[in-house]
Amino acid sequence: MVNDETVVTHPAIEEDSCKGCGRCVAACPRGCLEMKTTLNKMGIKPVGYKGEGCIGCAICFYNCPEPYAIKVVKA
Amino acid sequence: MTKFVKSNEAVVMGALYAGCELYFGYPITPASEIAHGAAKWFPMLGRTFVQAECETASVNMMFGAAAAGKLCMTATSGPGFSLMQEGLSYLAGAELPAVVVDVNRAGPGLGNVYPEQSDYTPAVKGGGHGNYQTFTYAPASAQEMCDLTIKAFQMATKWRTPAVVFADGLQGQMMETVRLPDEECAKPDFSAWAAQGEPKTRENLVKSIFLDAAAQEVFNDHLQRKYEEMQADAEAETYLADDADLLICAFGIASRVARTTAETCRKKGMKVGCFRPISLNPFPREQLAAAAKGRKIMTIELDAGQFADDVRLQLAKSGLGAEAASVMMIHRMGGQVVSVDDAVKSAKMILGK
Amino acid sequence: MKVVEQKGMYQKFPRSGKDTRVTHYCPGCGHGIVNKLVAECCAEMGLQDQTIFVDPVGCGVFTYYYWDAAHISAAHGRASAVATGSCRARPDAVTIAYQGDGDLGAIGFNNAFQAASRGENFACIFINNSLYGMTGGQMAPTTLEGEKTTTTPFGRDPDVTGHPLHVCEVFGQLQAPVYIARTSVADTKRIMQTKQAIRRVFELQKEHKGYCVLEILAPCPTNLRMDALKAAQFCMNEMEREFPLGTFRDVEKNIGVVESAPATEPSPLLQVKAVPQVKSCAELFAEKTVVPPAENDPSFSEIRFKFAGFGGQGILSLGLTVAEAARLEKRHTLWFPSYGPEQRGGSASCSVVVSGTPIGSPTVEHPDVLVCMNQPSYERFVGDVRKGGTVIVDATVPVTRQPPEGVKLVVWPAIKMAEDFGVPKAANTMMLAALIKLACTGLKDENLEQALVASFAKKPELGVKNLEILRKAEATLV
Repeated sequence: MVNDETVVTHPAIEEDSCKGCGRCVAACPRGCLEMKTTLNKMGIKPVGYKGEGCIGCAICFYNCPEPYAIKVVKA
Repeated sequence: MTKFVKSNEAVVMGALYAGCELYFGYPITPASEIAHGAAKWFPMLGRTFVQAECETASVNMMFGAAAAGKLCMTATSGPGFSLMQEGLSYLAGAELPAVVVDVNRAGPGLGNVYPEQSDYTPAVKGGGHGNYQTFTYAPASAQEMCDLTIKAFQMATKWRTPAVVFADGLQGQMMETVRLPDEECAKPDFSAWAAQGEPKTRENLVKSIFLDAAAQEVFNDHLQRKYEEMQADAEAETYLADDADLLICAFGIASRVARTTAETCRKKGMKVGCFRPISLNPFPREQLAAAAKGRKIMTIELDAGQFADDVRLQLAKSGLGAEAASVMMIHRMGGQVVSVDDAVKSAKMILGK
Repeated sequence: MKVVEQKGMYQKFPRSGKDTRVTHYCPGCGHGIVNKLVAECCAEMGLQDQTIFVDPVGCGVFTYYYWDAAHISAAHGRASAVATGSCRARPDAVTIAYQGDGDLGAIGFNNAFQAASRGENFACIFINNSLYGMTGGQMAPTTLEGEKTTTTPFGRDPDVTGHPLHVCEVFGQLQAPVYIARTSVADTKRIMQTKQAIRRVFELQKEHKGYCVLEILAPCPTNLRMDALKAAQFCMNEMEREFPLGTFRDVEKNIGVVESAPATEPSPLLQVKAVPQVKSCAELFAEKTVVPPAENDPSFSEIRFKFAGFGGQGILSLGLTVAEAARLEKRHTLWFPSYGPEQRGGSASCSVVVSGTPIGSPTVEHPDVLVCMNQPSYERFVGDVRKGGTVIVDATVPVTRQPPEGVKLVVWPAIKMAEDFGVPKAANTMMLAALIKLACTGLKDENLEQALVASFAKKPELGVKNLEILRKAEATLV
């Protein structure tokens, strides 16, 4: 169990479920997502988190057409 | 309780006793009395009648109701039966129980509303796409329109298959005395596979799609095995057949012409008997072989010879090649019924008298 | 800690045949976004146990891989008919049909439209991406004017292919739907509006309020030959111009309600009556007079009747009266009419067979008794009568030809007598009098009389009157 106080709000990305459409990157109000340059299992460049800036709005989750590619963990 | 009723009404009575809960239908002559009876009686028993916008809708409404785990039915005639073939294929592919009553009229095309048996092949061999069959009964009286409708529901339930009650325009309009059952059938429980909108059926999925070729083949093998096993429920009737020189094979309304023909021939000293398949699919092959062995064979039918071809096939499959090759036929089409006079003349000719 | 993540879907999708939790949708597909929202709303509202999803054929065909609830996979275009069947079978369930624009807008339009018109108790979630997706980007009824598809390679030309179909607006002409809305999943604001709309649909279905249709504009990057973002832009910039977003109707919120005709005194001809309820088939089919089943009596030789005349002369009911009398005598009995498009006004005939043994052929080729009430039927049937048989013909019919040898011909003024008795409709009863007097039915007089009275069960006073003139007529026949 993660201790709530130590958790930082962030998008949790399941890279192998991402099809790289970029909807989340365009939609993120804080511009904290980007397409990676490495390939996932499907041979697609998935989305990655820049490491900071996430406010936990979950807009990325709702714009994503995949159920499990991205979720948002809020502190 | 006995009633003097139109065969078409006897169908509805049978369906209600069988526990059919939903009727979906589109009007068409000469089947419309079935919808009329259903529209009145289903709601009076708290059951459901829906007048669909077309036969395509009727059969797909049945797909939905059957998939939701309830017994349901429709009734139609030739053109509507054609429209339902895709839906019957889906019902068979999803292994859903449902009953279609086809009150045959003359075709092709618009044809007319008088009796034929020309939907034989689609009703017996599976008229839609894919390797499927239906359980098909051929009643010959108002009593059987009731009784075999009940059995059609039972077989549909037992074998998880669409069933067809194969009648004709004359029969549908005919009134005879019908003895109704003493008891209503118990409602079957389909919760093991149906989508009922209840917690216990949440994991259930009703479908006919197998994207994987290997899986489709496994399923098709399963269906074909099931159709083989259905043979156990094949039914037939013989009349004056034990010592017959000539066996008349006929089903439905034509079997009654056969019966009178045999009686008339016997009075004239000709040994003529009758064989009547009560179920057209599964075809009572063994019973036919037993009755036909070593005999001359004639069919009476109201089509172009679809039934005669099937009789030949069933005989050949039973190893009775000589009998199969000798099958003769007397038939009428266009809404005409074979007369006893003509049938007796044919029997005479075949027997060389 | 709180996690915003997918609800209402299976954790993995083994029904796809693969060990995966990735959908089959293309990158950036609007279906994926909608699928997530539908699953989420269903789960958030606690309706997964209660929901039946009806899945289409098209790109949405595999929703049963994903949504954790019961599913029925329908034929192409038929989801609304299938949903009609399932929601009628399970009125307590929440039924959701999911359809695309080929499925609903083209092949299945009438099924969807008629279900909406009947006000079926289900909701249709309709994905409009302006084309056929799964089959390779062909024109759909919703394709925009000028839009290039694989079957409109030069752009959709309305002069050739018509204009885009507006499903919400067309369905808006109907009175029954309780909710009609169009949303989009092209951007965050629209996606959240769509979620609200889907929630609304589930709310209305949970309470079984009636038919709902929610049209959702969804991008199809693959067939639009665009990337995900440009396809979303296409939805907003091009599709919304043709298909404006909004809630066209929400009856409970008094939005877009179709006014019914102003209330007037309802016509007595146009009234819905309560359906009388019975508890069992036995109660439904109970008969006042208990008639025993037929008994075999080989000593009674079969008698075949043909009754013929002009529609409206009571020919069919005369046959039924004879049949009913035979039934009262426990005879095997069969009646059938000539039928067809000439329901009224043309020639009418019916056949009756009465027998002491089970009846074979139902057709009456050679009647023992022929009753004719007009000239065409006399000329048509008189030659068929069996030797030793009887022909009764109304006196208005010119006897242009004689019956075969050995057949008795009786000319009987049935029509005139009925008029003289002041009951012109009773010509058939006058014919019955002749049948009784000539003793050619093989049936007992009292049973024929009882059957006559029984045929007027709904108008007993007419039964009394007919019996009275029947007896008078019998007395006059020499």
